Amino acid sequence: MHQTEDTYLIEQILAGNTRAFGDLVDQYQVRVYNFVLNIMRNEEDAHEVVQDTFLKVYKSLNTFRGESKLSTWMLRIAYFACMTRLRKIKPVLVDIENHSSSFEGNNVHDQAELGDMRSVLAQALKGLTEDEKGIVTLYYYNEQSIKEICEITGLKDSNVKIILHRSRKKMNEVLRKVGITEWVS
Amino acid sequence: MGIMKNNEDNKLQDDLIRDLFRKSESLPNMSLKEQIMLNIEASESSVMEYEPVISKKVLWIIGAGFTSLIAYLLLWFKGSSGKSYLDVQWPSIDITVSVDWFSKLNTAFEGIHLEMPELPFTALAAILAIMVMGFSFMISYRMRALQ
Repeated sequence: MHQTEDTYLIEQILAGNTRAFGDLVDQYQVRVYNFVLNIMRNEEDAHEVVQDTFLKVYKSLNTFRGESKLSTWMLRIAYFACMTRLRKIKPVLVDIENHSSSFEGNNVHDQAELGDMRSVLAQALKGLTEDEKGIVTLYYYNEQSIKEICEITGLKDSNVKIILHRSRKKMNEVLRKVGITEWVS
Repeated sequence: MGIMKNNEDNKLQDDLIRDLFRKSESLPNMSLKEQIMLNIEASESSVMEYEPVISKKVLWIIGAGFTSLIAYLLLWFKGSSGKSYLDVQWPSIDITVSVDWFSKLNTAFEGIHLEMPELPFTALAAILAIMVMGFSFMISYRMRALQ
């Protein structure tokens, strides 16, 4: 979404137009949801975190100064909402891998071809820490630059690069192990 | 040559992971947006600024009218005895004489007589009720403003 469109929506929302906020939700909910889901690994928690995130966005929109992209600012809120939630629920977290282990031992490439991509992704993300899941999702899915990831997570440039390198390595090991070296589109 | 190969491998790996994320994109529940909007509406109503039914301007008008009425009843309205309810007869106090100030003060207030107005009970009850309601409204307004 263009920055000018974001600016227009923000102006409308701040002027009290709740419908404009609905448009904002339409624009960003899938991206925010997938980012959160990849960290939380649980749909129910992801839905709650996304709700919290958008509520926070709505309440704090007047503090958004436009120094970063709106998406970056929203992802930062979502990232911290995830971390807060994970700290609360970690002992009883039932993760998505428990529901997606059916392909283990099978030909995963076939599973992927059958469209069970989430299972492959879940497996690839399984060995990563929450920080790593967040950072790889920001980089590969949300297409955030290293600088933007630093803004979102509050980590240093060098740390982000190291985490990204380490996570890429781990994920590729998993993908290689299950026989995925390229996608057949 | 080795570095180039390494960069190429990294790019392939990046593309592979990027595709994996892209192809794994999930759609949230249809009700997510609805739930978000409900949360927004709920938060809106909970942070709505308190607005009294009677505006400040109307309250001032009522207050001024009430004060004028009381002032009129006390100072100008003549009861059945033909006297105002508040009958002030200012005493002449000789301030040059050096008597003690306490007795001077007593003398000053001796001239003020306040009679209870000869209003019907219902009128008195109505005035009292207005006063009680007014005070309770002002207190509740202040309390809410402080919350």
